[in-house]
Amino acid sequence: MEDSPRNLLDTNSLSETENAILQLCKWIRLVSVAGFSIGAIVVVAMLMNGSDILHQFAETLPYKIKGLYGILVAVFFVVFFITALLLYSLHRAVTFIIQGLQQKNNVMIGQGFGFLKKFFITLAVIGVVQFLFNLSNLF
Amino acid sequence: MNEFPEQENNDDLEKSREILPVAKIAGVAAIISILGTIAGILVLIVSPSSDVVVQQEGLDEAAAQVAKTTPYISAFMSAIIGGISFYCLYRFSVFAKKAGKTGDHTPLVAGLKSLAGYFRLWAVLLFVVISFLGMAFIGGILSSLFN
Repeated sequence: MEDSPRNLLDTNSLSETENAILQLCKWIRLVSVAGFSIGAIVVVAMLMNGSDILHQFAETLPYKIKGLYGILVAVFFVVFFITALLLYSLHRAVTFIIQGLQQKNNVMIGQGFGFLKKFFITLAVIGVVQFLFNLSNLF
Repeated sequence: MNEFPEQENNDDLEKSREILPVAKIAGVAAIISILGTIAGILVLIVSPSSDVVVQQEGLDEAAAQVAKTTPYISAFMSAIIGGISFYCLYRFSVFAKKAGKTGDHTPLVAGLKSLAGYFRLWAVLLFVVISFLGMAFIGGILSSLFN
């Protein structure tokens, strides 16, 4: 017979590890919600005044090269979609882990941590790019 | 608490197996990100770009002072954030690996708490960003109303 989903608000029914995972999920969910909110604000700002914002930003940069505006637009879209990918990974991770905890299903918890792994892989790749960029400025 | 402690331990052991690959990648990401932060600070110390901007723009003394100090303040902030992020992720990585080896759930819980600390830091930072964006948005609306 299939068990009914557990009430995760009743922390007495959870083990110490499950409690720690639940606390972790709360913070991850908060990060993803805050991130999506910032994304929505950025989209609205760009739709209203995106061209002016990027032109003003291009003027403040110390490098003055031909086609800088186009490069900035491309960089904006790349950063925007990578951030969206990161936030999506976090959102999926939390959804799977919480469902797994509710249903006492370790496979679902594993899938959730798989999304968290993808998040950290993307973070590591971004770290490598940042490191190489800083090294190229150093030498 | 669970009525069957043995089953609880097995469950925790299975969870630590799921968490172990995440911990390994998180440890690598922590080391790479702290290296990137250190390289960024070195770039600022070795070749500060603010002097060039100040000379090019021909700013007055107060604005020039702000332009000179802003990169150092932002570098200081990113060093603090990078340091705390590294500490949390590295602790998570070390404790989760230890839990994977020993099969003990206590280090796993400590590691998960460190990982929660990492996401707590980012949640606070994102809410600070949201409040700044909100203020800028309200400021923009007010300035367009009064002009």
